[in-house]
Amino acid sequence: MSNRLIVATPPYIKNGETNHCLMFDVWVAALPMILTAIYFFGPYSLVVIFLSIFSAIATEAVIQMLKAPGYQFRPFLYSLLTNEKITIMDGSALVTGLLLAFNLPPQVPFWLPVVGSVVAISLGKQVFGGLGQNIFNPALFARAFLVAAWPAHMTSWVAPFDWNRWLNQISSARSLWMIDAVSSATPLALMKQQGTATPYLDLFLGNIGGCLGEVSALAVLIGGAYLLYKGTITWHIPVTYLGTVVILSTLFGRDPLFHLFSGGLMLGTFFMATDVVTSPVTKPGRIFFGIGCGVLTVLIRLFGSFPEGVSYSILLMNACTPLIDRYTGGAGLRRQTLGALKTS
Amino acid sequence: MDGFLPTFIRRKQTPPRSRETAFDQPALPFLSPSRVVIPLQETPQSSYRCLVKARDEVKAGQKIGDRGDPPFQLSVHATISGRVQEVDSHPSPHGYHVASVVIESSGHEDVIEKLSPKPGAEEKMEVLLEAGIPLDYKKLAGNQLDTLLVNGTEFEPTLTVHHQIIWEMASQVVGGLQALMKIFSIPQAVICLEGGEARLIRALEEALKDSKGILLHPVSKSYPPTGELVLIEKVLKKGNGSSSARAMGVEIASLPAVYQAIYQRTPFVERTITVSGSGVPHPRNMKVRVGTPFGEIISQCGGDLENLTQIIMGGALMGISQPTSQAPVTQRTTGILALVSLNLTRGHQSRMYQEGPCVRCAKCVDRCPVSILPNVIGAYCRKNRFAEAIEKGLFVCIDCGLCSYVCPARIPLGEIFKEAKSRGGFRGREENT
Repeated sequence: MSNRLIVATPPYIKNGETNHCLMFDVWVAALPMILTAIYFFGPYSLVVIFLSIFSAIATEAVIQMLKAPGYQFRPFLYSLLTNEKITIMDGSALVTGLLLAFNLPPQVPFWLPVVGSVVAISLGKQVFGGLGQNIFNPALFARAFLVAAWPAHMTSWVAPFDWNRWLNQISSARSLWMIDAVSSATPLALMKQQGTATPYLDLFLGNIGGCLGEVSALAVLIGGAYLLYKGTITWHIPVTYLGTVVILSTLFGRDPLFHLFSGGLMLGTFFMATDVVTSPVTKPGRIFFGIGCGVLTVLIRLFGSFPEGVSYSILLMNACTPLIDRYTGGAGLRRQTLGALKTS
Repeated sequence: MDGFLPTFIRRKQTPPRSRETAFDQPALPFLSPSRVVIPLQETPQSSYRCLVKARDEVKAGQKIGDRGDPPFQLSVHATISGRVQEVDSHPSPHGYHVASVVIESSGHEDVIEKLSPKPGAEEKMEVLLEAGIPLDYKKLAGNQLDTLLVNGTEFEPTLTVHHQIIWEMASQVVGGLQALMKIFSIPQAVICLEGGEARLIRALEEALKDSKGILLHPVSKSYPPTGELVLIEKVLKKGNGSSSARAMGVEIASLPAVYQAIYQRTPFVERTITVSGSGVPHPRNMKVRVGTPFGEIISQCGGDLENLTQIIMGGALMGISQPTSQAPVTQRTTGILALVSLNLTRGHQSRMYQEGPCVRCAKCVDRCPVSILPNVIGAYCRKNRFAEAIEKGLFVCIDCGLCSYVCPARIPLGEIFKEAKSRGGFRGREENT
């Protein structure tokens, strides 16, 4: 025998998927939402998204440099991208930054997404040990932090962008990015405070006030369909979450379609609640998770003091995830125990 | 950069079936190897008896030894005619060195000698023992069973041997099953098949025309040969009036052997295997003698032994990789996978393809055929906390390898479980008690 055979353990094939695939699938799915954000809220939304992503990546790189023992700082992009200890290339910080930007109102001051991203990456993720270890969805964690710290900035909504006025008044550098926007309220706030309903078509297409990513239900649905097609998310959480919201709001005598398409429900369902790290791993667990999110959302929307409850309901259910996993996992184990009882 | 840039390819959650080794042609016979290595033991500890010595002349079908302990002692037969070269310890495909008889072929092909059972024992268990068919006789003879289950699904993506056997020898499969039911007085049997294989279902239905007690049960997905317990439960859930404790799985390749032993009086000396992989130009199903070294079969299919990097007994998901090409085909070998691959060491691999942190994507949990949590058990095993791992169901795992196949973080879960089972088994059990 001249050649030497390799001895390895099975299986000898893999389906070629990597963690990077999962992360960049979210980017592809988010493209329609980025486009609608630019269309409805003007070029300044791009600034918000870019600042949020950039500061998320920078925070991750700095924290991982501090964590790596004996890391010698070399200010080259190459060493940042190739060092084993610095995993900014895995795309998770990119996704966190993007989702945080989607959760911000369109006309926030430029430092708000920066602070939010730093909080999301440091306190939301790296404190727990990095990717795969965090309890709460980092983007929602940062949003909750920002809402508590700067409630005025986080609840100042504007009406959709007026591109004609923008074209007419491009004169200074500042007016390139933003115009003096007409302030407006979100459909949910209008419903809660004045009882006025918004037309369904505006709700569906996104011609309303709201956060950057949540305005257009259509864009989110396209992205969600892509994620479902790629198998990055499964149907369990979206179906149970949306179904619970529809059923409960009908039971309480409200308009189910309005509650389905308004606010951050669509965004939360397809991009936040299905976040792989913070949702349960078992199929029954995911169903319980979706139902819990739906119940909490409807309760906060109808009876709480906030007009919107998606982010808090998902955060609360994230906290329950370890418990859900514990009590729904191991179906095979129970079956084995039952079989042993039958035999003896 | 594959794996880094977003692709629109939808990754498979179960390995796609390779269409190379289609079973629309009969298995190619390769019955004249130059030498065979016939193992007398399964593991180095098991007892055996050898009836021949070096330089003896043997004929194909002649009894050369016994394997196992009485009362369930299996006969071992010479599979080709020729001269015994040596009786020594040789590598077996299961990774052990076991006592084996090496026979050098005399060159000319002989007919296989018939079995000569004692009068009155024609349709009894003794015939099967004498033919050397490996079955779980202890359980079969225990009078505890009321259902036999035949797993006709093909779990391994690279093999088609189960389908080939059903397609080519449907009547013998049914005949062998009926003989087993008669010998051990078992009232019913179930044959499971993938629902999509319409040709096979038709062939089996034709063979089943005038048989009683045998059900054909189409299942939606394929099950590994070690996962018979899950399959039994799945089938019996439909209310066939039996419990899983009273059912037993039978390997499909042994059914034609039972048929031939009882009705044609030939011992179990040849079987159908699939030869495939990137190192084989003409992958196909073959009928080979038990004991043929893998190397000879691969050369017969046009493979170049000098260029191979990996030889695997079985399929790509559950096979055992071989350190040598001289390991022989045994009665349980389902196929050979010969691979020529560019294996990169860790330093040269793209960072995308190295092991990353578990992101709890739950793909392993969704795919697991026995519904355990591979990610949790894998994390416990990595930390050497075997007691917790066993509590979470480490020994429920059937080593199917699907969790490693789908893991996007590239965690070698199958390897971790295999190692933990052998390393932590004893320790964990002691801690538990």
